[in-house]
Amino acid sequence: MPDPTPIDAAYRRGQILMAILTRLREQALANPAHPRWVELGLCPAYETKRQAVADLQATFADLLGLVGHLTLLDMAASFEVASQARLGTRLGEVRSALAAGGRKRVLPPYALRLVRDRDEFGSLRAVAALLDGEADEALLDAFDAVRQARNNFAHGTEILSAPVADPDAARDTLNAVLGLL
Amino acid sequence: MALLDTLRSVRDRTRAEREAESDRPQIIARWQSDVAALYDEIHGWLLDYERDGYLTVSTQEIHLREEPLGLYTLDAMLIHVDDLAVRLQPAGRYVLGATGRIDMFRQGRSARDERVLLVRQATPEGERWMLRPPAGPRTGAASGLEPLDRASFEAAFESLLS
Repeated sequence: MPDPTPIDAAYRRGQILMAILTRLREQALANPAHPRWVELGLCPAYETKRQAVADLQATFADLLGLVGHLTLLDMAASFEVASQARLGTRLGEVRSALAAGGRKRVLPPYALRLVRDRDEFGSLRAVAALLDGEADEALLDAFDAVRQARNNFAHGTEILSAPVADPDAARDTLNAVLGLL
Repeated sequence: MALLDTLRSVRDRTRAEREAESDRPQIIARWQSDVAALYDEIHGWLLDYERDGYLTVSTQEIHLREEPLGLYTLDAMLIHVDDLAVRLQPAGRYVLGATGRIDMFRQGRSARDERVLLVRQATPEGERWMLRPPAGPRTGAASGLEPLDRASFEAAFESLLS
């Protein structure tokens, strides 16, 4: 079994938060009159039991939705950090080869200056462009769906609507793309 | 969740449920009587304004259904000022963190964040009515409650009219 990637770690953080919230939701709905829910801000004080149940359900739906989006955001951010590190290594290899080519006069002396900087591959879109035509089309489509889901959340989305990319599928996609770099 | 909190919550809940089952008629009668006494007190604070013709006060029977008590009747209080009306509407005897709640709102403006809450709380000296203005905190440790007296009532009433 391969070592967990930073994307796997982000996925795990999201799953833990989801499990905590799900467990807390069960406890809250089993005993909606407990003062702890008011102290935590999960429902307002002085409500009737019926209203407290409705408030708790709405609050937990919001929080669970938010964690779904945050998990995707965390995975995308983790991918960006990991992909930057890998591309840094690849650029080092390319530069070494180009420098050798320059010394042998196979390549022009300014060859190294034609290589782009690592920072220019900092976005998911730039990584997708790098792999265009080289990676499986279905994988790149799935990768683009993750990118869109991340952008949707960053630019304001309806929290109650689940992310367009499922967290499990997003994790697999990001790991597969990272494996190509 | 701290065990002590949970034990207290379970104890209070089961005690309240037992109490409600065995003494339902007495609990309802006491609640009705406390609400009526509060209306009398508020009416007393408004008498001067009523005598001068600025407002009128009336009551209206309403039905409440609460899980521990079943269906029972209670009065709502209406304070009419010209063509406006401020309503005091009991929300329930069993509410989170209190032993009763009456909502006070201007008719036509009854959204939750526009309501003044009159909250009955148990103290070592007995039951005591408190008031929470609409802008007060409703979650967290801060209760946002202040004692219900003539000054706090008039300020809240005025805020609903403006």
